[in-house]
Amino acid sequence: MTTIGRRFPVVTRSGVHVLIGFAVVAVLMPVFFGGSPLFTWTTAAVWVLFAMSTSVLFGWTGLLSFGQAAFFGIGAYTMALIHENRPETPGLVMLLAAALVAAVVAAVFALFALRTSGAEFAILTLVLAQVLWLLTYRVSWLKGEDGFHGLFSVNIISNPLTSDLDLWYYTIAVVGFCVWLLWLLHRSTAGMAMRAVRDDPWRSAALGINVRRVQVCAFAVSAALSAVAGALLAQGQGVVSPGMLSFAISGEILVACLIGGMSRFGGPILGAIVLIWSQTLISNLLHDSSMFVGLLLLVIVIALPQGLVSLPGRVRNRRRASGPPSIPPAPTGSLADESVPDGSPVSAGDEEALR
Amino acid sequence: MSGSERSSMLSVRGLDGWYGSAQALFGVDLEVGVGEVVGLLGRNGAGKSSTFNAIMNLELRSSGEIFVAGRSVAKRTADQIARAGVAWVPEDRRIFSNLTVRENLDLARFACGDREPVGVDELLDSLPLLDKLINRKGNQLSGGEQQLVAIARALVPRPALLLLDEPTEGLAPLIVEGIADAIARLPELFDVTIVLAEQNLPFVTSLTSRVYVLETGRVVHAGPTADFAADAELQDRYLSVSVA
Repeated sequence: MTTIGRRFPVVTRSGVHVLIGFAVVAVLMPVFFGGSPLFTWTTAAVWVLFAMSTSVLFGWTGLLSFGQAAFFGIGAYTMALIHENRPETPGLVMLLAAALVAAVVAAVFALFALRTSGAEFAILTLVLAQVLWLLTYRVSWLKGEDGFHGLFSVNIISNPLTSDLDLWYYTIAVVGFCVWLLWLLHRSTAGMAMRAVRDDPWRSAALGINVRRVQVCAFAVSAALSAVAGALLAQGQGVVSPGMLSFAISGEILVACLIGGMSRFGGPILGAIVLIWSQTLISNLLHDSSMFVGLLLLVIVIALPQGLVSLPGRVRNRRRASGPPSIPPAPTGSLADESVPDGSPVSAGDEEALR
Repeated sequence: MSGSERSSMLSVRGLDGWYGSAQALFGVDLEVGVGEVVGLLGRNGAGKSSTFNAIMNLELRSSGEIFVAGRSVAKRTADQIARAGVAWVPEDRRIFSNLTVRENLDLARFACGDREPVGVDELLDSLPLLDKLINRKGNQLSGGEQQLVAIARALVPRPALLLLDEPTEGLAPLIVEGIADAIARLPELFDVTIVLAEQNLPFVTSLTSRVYVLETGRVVHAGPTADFAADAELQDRYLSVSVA
C-alpha cells in the first residue's frame, strides 16, 4: 500500500484503489465460492462495515463504546419497520433511512454522554444499548423476542434480491462504497482531527479544534455506518431480533477491531473476516464452538497486540534480526549525533538548516 | 517601549490557578504590548507553564481577567481562544507523532477563524529547514526539528499572540542558537507578539526587551531584560538552584 501510495499519490488520495479492491473481490468471490460459503462471505462483508464504523470511534477518535450494537440494532429495526409498512421502498432508501435515524440518535446521545470520558463514557454507551434492547421487549410494535421475519423481498432499484449471488453483489457494493467514504474521511482534515483528538485532546483544542464537536461527529458517522451494516444484515438474513442489540454483538465487534488492529486503515477489515470465518468454521467442526473461538481470538490478541496488520512488520523485523548485522544509514535529521539531556535526538544537520 | 505605552496585546490581571485543590498561581499580572517579545523567567515549578495553561484554559482551573487585543478570553474554551488568535507551543512540543509534518501543519488551519492561513510556501521561505521535513512523520524528527515544526504549526493560523514554553529545553547549544535566530525573525515576518517562558537567561536576553520573573506562582519582578541580566543578585535569588 505504501509503495502504491508513493508511486500513485492520486490513486491513494482519491481512494480509487479501495474501490478497485472491492470490485475485484466482488467479481472473484462468486468464482471460487457459492451457496453457503458465499453467504458467509456476505455476512463477513457486513461485519467488515460494522468493524470499520466501530473503528472510526474506537480506533480513530479514541472513544471506547461498549454499546455499538445499539446502532447496529437501530439500523436493523429501522429497516424492518420501513419494510413492514412500505415494503416497496427501495433497499438503498431503507439503508439511508437507517443511517439517518442512527446518526440523529447518536448525535443527541453523544452531546450528553461526552460530558464524561473514558470508562464512564463506555458504560453510558452500554446503558444505551441495554435500554434499547429492553425497549424491543416493552414496545409492542417492535415485536419482542420474535422480532421481524421474512424480510427477503428487498427491492434494489425495482428488482428484488432473489439469490445469494444478488445479495453478495448488493452487499459488497454497499460495503465497498461505505469503506471508500471512510477512506476519504480518514485522509481528510476532519479525519486527521479525529486522530489528533485521540492522541492529545488538549493540544488539539489549543490548535483550535473543537474537541467535543469532532467527537460528536465521529460518533454520528460511526453510528450511521453501523446502522447501515445492521440494516444490510437484516436485508440479507431476513430476520431482526433483540439479539442484534445485545452486549455480545458490541463485544464481538470490538474484538474484531482488536484482532485486525487499528494502527492501519484496513485492520478492522481483516479482523471482521477472521472473526466471522473462525466462528463459521469452528462451529462446523465442534458442537460448542464459542469457547474455542474465544480461545483462538485470545491467542491472536495476546500474540499480536497490534493486531494481524502488524504481522508483516513483525516478520520483517525478525528476518532482519536473524540476518547478518549491518549498519543502517542514518536517516537525515533523525539522529543520534548528539545526545541531549531529555533524550531528544538532535540532527547534525539541524543547526545548518535552522540558520 | 513598555507594554503600557503600546496598545495592549495581552493583559492578565489577578490570575489565580489551581490543579485540583493545589493552588499554582497567585494573582499573576502581565501586560504585553503589540509587537513586543516579553520573557517569563523562573525556575522549574515557578508557574511559567501554568500561566500559559491558564491563558489557554487548559489543564488547570483559573480565575482572573485575561484580555487578548482588548477582548476578554477568560471564560472561553481552548479552541475558541486559539481561534481568537492565541497560539501556544508547549514545553514538550506535542507534535502528533503519527502524522507527517504537512499534516501537522494542516491541522493548525482549524484555528484560523476568519484569517487566511499561512501557506506552506511562506513558511518554507521563513523556516527553510521545513522543506526537508515536510513529508516526515512526527516521530522521525529530532528535538530541534520538532521544536521548529511546533513553532511553524503555531504560525499557520496567523496568530496575534504566540506563547512559547521553554523552546530550548533539551536542545544542544548550537540548535538553541538556530531556534533563537528563527524566533527573532518572527515578529517582523508574521506580525506576531511573543511571550517566551524560559530558564535560559542568555536566550531570553538575546530575544526580549522586558521580563517578568515568577516564583512559586507569583510575579516577583518585572522590568527591562537588560536590567535583570545585569543584576547578579536578582538572578541568584530567582533563577539559581540551591544544592544545599
